Amino acid sequence: MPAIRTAKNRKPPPDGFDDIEDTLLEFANKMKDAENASHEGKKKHEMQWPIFQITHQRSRYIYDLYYEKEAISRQLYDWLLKNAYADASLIAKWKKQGYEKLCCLRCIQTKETNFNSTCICRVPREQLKENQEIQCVSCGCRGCASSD
Amino acid sequence: MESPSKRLRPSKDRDSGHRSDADDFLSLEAHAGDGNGDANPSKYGYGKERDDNDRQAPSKAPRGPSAQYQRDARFDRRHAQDRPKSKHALPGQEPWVLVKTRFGRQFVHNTETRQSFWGIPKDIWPAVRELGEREGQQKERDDNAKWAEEELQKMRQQSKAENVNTAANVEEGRSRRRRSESLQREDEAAMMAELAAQAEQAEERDVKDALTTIEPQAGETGYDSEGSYEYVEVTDDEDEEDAVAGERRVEDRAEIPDEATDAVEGEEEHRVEFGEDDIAYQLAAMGADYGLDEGEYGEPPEGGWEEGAEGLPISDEDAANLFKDLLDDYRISPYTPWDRLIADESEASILNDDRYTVLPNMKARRQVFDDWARGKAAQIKEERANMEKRDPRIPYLAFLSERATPKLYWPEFRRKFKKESEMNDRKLSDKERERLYRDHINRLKLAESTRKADLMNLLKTIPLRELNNCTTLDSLPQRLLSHLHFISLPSSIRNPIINTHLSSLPAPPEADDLTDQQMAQGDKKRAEKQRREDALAERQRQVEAVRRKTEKEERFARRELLEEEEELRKAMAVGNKGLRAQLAGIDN
Repeated sequence: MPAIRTAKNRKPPPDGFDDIEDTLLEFANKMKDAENASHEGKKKHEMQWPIFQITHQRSRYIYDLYYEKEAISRQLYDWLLKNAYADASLIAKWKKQGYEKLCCLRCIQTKETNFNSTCICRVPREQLKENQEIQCVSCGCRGCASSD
Repeated sequence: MESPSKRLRPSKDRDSGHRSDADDFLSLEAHAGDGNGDANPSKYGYGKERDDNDRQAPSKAPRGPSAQYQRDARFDRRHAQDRPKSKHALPGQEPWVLVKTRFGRQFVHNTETRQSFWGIPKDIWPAVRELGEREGQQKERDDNAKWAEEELQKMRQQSKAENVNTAANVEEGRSRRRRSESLQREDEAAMMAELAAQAEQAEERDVKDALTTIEPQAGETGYDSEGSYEYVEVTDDEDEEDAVAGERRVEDRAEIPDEATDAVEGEEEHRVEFGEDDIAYQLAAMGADYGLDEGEYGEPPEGGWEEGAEGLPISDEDAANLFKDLLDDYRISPYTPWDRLIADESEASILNDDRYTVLPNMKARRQVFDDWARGKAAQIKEERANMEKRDPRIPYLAFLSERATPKLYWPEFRRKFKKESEMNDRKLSDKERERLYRDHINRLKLAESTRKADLMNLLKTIPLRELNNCTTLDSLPQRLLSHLHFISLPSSIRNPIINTHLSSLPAPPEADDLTDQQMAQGDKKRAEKQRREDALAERQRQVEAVRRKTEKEERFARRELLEEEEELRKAMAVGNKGLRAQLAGIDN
């Protein structure tokens, strides 16, 4: 039987967690609000947009802190990924060329679409029609091509 | 071009003298009878149409407000919104009062009989008209005073600006000043003559005028409660003396028409033309007052500004540094996400600072912020590495010394203070906290003399380098603060003991000037040496064990050998009973 981890015997998070704790707490609160928001007057798929957006923001925040600003340690970054503060597979995509601004993993999942293509939000803006406003169904993204 | 000092202003009807009944106090019948509808737009703002209606309507047509509303659909809305605004006593007609409404209409009301009439009865009519006249004069006087003050302000500004402007275009400025001076002189002459005539009449009226009323606001439709007004061009350039007189001035051009028109025409010829040059140089003067350069306001002229006109240029680097200063000054955490920073709407937000605008766009700002955050985070990391590691037990023990009592068991104590930050510190495990609490409580139950002795012992164990006569109670070493014996005594007893001990100690040793780094190196060396010695001892122990084991094995082997030899010897030694008996003995 695995050991039960409670608040009593939990290991403390790595150093530097205190600095970002408030921001993460804010994200958690936002996420709670989004989860409990009413579905009144929303489309079926529109319900999940805020969830995806907050996940994206939080992952981006941690990604930026570790890779761009180098403000947090490797231990803390690993710990955050392990504790699901950021989506590791999404961050893995951001490191690849052409996927620097990817909004969510669902938008590049070609097998789930009718024509085996990616989401409309992956299309660069110059290839769209003039003044064409798009918002994708899976996460409400308005365009996440790297050239935008 | 219309000169700015010219003004269209409402004035009392010039021919009100011969049109004694052409007032807004006229009843509807009076309006209907008055053929002057065009020149006298009615107080209702749609008078012309209504006048026509009235003219066509026979005199038997229903009168009074309700009847009017029936005739005109637009009345309904107005009736709903209209309500009495001010009440005016009618001198001489005591129970009657004149009531004005929000839309400037008026009716009479008898306060005793509680009767109201839109149409004013014949006997009250003279009193109403008198009141109206007086009000008209009063209002005009007020307006004139206000207007005179405004003009005076303008004149002062203009003259000041003219004084400033000497360097740029001397010729032009001089000629303009000459013009305006001569003009002012003429103006003054004309105005003085006019005022002298008016002042006498004004005084007479002032004596009579005792009634104060609230002026109803003119409606947006442009009508006035005074009824008709005409736009008269009044052109004045007053000086200071004029303004003083002008406060009490009454303008009644109907009574001195010749003078007034002459003055207007005379001024017309010498009118100062406010050209673009004037405006430009006034702007320049104002800019100089605020310490601005030409390029910082207004639009660039053709061919661009002259060099240096756009203020000191801010290079990109300066702009970025300014923005970084801004972030530093507002104590922004480098761990803050950019989105949250710019979403901050509060008063203390960086968006309200001028330095926020030095960078041209959001992209540049974001880039500078990222740069700054990277540098700042690195700096913080470095500072933390250099800072002395503080034992997490120290704040907890300080907390315990304040709050812990033998009356509370650990679970009770934890429940009571679970909100305190010391009880939630992640660095210290709950087990450790519990152990410290229990130990502390057990020590509190000991005799005070024992605890004192323990504290003295603890003080003596601390090396001189950390605890000496230069140490104060605020700078005690961590080794002391993190020890349970330190908090076993209440601070009132503890502090004198420590003070006496500190005063008995010698000065810090010379080696104290070692830097922290050297000390750390020394510590490391010592630790290394200790480790080596430990390793050596372990090895010796292992060697000894092996040696002992081999010795033992040797001993066993020797004994076995001896035993075998003994057996052999026994076997070889044949006794006198014979070989047979010998073999049989062996078999047995």
